[in-house]
Amino acid sequence: MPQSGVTNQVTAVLLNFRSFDTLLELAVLLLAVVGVWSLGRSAGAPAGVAVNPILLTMLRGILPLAILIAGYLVWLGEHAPGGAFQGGAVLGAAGILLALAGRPLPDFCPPWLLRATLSGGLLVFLGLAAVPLGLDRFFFQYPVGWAGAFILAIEAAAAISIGLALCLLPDGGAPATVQQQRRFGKAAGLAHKGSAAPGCFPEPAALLNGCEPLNQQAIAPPDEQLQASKRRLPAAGQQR
Amino acid sequence: MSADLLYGITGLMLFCLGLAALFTRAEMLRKILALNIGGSGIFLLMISIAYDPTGGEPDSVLHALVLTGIVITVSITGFALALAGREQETGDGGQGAEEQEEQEEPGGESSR
Repeated sequence: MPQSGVTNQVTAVLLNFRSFDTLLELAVLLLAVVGVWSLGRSAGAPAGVAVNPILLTMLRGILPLAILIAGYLVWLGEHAPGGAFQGGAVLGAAGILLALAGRPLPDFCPPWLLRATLSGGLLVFLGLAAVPLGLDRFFFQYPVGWAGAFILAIEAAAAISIGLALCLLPDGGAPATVQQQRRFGKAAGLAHKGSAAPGCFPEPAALLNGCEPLNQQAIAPPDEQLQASKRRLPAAGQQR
Repeated sequence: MSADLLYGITGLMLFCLGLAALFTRAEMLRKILALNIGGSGIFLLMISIAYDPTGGEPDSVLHALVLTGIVITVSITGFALALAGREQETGDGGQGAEEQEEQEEPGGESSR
């Protein structure tokens, strides 16, 4: 146990005694994303959600906190329950929130960066596991005294990859290409990037209709919705 | 009844519920849900087995296996959902059997 480099038993098992398990686990997660992407983008799927300023404002506070918590969880894995997967799950949730607010990661990350980050965890793991080979040791047999540093580096890289994979998986297809996004923006008449009208919520109808031209008149303007809800409220009061 | 036994029995019951739904329900979404519930039952069972009633450290190998199983389940669920969604779009019902076989794998792996 003291030779493993970490004091948390589960982390020691995952990243030292049974490293192959974790390595292939990362590979399966990567394969799942590759598999989903290989299905392509279905014709009916919407290419984006309208920017939601309220959620975005909230995210300005949540995002740094989420990244901080993820880093803390990875570091915590050394001596307590925590680690790459827990940290990655927090990062993934932050990424999904970003997508819900209308700013999915594929929008502002170049594709090569996405791919590099996705496979980064696996590559760093493989690279660090191969380092002992050059030192006349076995695969995964970390140098004495360095095991803790190796494990922390692997966990940090893995957490970022896992987070990205988890927030890209629910998308259910390859990230929309720029052309698809433009087409969606034109068809739906929505300001997908940049200037959204204040109070512009992601309209459910835009999601349901997919790529069909959105009938703007079908959706009541915010004022009418407000009045309608006001009309409904007194009625509910009278019933009581 | 001790706590670990209670957790173990709950896990077994969840697994049986998931297994029954997996075989009896025709809809793909229900099958995927059933697989997740059954898998959670197996995880609960493994965690309760890892528990040491004498107050010692729990078996960390089983904990690590459950952690692996959860990640595999998430991966497979994501992929299966994407496949099921695509199948519904194309209206091709002939691929159901293949998909089900694919989903059987994670359950078998995590129960080992």
